[in-house]
Amino acid sequence: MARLGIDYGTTNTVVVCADRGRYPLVPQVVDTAVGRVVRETFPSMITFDKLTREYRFGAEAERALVEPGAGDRYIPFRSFKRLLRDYTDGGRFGNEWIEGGLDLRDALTQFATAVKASIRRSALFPADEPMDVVLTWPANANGAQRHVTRNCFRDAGFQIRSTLNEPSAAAIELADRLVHGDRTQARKVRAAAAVFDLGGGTFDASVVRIEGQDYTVLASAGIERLGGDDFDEALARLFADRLNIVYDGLSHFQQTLLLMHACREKERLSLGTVRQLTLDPEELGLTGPLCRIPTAVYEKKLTELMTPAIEKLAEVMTQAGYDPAKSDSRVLDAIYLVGGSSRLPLAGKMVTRRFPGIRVLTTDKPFSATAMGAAIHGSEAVRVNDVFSRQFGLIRLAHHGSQEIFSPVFAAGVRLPEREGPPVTCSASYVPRHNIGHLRFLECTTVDGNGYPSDGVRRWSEILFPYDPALPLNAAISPADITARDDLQSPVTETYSCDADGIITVTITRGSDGQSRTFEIFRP
Amino acid sequence: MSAKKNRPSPATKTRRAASKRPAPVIRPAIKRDAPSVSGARSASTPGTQALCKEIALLRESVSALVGRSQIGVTADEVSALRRVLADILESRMLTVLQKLAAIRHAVPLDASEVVGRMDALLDELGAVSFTAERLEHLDPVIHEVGREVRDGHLPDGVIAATLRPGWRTANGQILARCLVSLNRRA
Repeated sequence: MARLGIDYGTTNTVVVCADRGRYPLVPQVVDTAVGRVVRETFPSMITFDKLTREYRFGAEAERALVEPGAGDRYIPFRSFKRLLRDYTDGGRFGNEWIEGGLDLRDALTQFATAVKASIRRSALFPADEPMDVVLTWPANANGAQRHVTRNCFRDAGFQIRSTLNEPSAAAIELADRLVHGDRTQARKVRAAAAVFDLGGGTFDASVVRIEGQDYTVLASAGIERLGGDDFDEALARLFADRLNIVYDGLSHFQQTLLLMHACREKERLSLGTVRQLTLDPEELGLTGPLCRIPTAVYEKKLTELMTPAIEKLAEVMTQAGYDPAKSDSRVLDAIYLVGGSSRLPLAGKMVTRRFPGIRVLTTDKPFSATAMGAAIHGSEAVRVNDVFSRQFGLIRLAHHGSQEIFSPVFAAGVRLPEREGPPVTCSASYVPRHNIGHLRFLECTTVDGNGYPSDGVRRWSEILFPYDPALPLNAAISPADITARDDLQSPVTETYSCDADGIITVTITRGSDGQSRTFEIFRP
Repeated sequence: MSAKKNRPSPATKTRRAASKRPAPVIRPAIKRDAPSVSGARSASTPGTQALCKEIALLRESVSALVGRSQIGVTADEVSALRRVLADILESRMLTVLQKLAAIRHAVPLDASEVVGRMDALLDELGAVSFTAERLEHLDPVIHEVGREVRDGHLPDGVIAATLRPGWRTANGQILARCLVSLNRRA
């Protein structure tokens, strides 16, 4: 049984395996004209071939874009993972370019299958050896995204041992890092660290207390749309401005090429070797002189983009009981910078400037730290006690149906159950005022002062439940059938249950006849 | 750091292995997939010279074993040792090599003398260079377009010339893609 940690990232997917106490990276082997080369990461980009109606993944997806006539033949989806945030049952994408669009779930399953094939090609494992996987996702990933990701990787043939929030996985790797990879010592580490996870598509911040093999997430929050992709786009727009072209006026294909070029220039900046970023417009099929942007100009833009992340980190530290203003490094041992975008020197500078008294550690494995933490979690007796990083609740009618309110079910910060333990449950009872209950679930990153969802709002599936005992539970009902009723006296009880992966079910019981029905709140 | 200094260096370990008897069980001295920050520091603070010396000793050890292959060392054992050498080089030097390759990338195309010196250093540190063949199709995994040319005699999208060779580690990890001129038909 191959034990793997997989970090399915927005721009790169990384696989680390557990091998007798060591955690080496599973390389992506690519055949080229100069022989076999290896890459640390499997690009998460997918390209759709309009001619054959097939996808290409990873390095093949990148190669397709440089073929002659690629612009007419291929549709690239560079940050495909970002589409999962808005996933709904039967969700499709690419409608702008392909009639009817493409099935999101099918594309993700095929991508996971390609990752699996890449792992097999590394020849590290026998061909028929099952793959036991700990899969990571952003701490602020919504339920739909978690659900579809887990199911698609399972459908691709991976055995999903467990799932883990990315910052929690990074914290596990941090303990390993603190003792220079001595696993025996890593099992005895006691520390408290804030994880600043700036990846390709999302930003997560978590404060984690490490006590030997127990990892307790004290607070966690994130920004759904902040990462390397946004930094690439900022640079691409700067290039476009310099060339006097309208970025939004470029074709999707040209935009993708420009973004990929911007990403490469950003990589050079990460290595700290450039003073200006350049673009030859001919690469995009445009004319004009070589375009140069001083790094100072780009860093000014990056500062604007990164500031909310720094403030989010301060917020999470405060929630966890650490006062960032006091900068008491004796309490919080370190701020750990992980994720590909944390390699930008500016990220470290900004964090150090904001929290001057706290030790800032930048990972030496920006791409593989999370996958390595996941692999350790999968092969050792590591216990992670995580929390909800998003608010989950539903819209209810209040004041006799005259007003809609947001009623939280699981608030951010509620502790998730342990993997083998019982689920977290929560109940609510009320006397219905209508013949049919219309439950509209949603989750959000934050709620405002009035208790309304204010940021990162995602709708979940809606449920219609017959409160009236005269209606059978499986009756075909619609919102149009809802009528006010003041004669229903028996209470209705909703019991919510959340498992270790953060997936929620609700059982609704009507007191009048004791009948109940259980719903998976999200059903892809 | 002090604990690290007390440990025998990978070179010493390999020499011991070579002197005791052929083909001991060789375990790579690396801990992890990628080089640690401390590894990168040790490459620069005691001086690159010391590290180069260490690498040279390792190479000598491998050569010595290859030379003794007729007296009992099997080809598998030699290749295993070569892999160990590549692992050590990569684990200790990857960050340095990557930075070096990135600096080289930033050097203008016409500064061939500077690039030549950096190429010599990459070679010294165990990296392997590669070039592109004319008329080969562009492969973004190993090629990077440095210039576009318009040659009506060449097909569209093929490589017209290598402008600067690429570099990879002995284990195949790309450090610098090969800079090429690409033919584009108007």
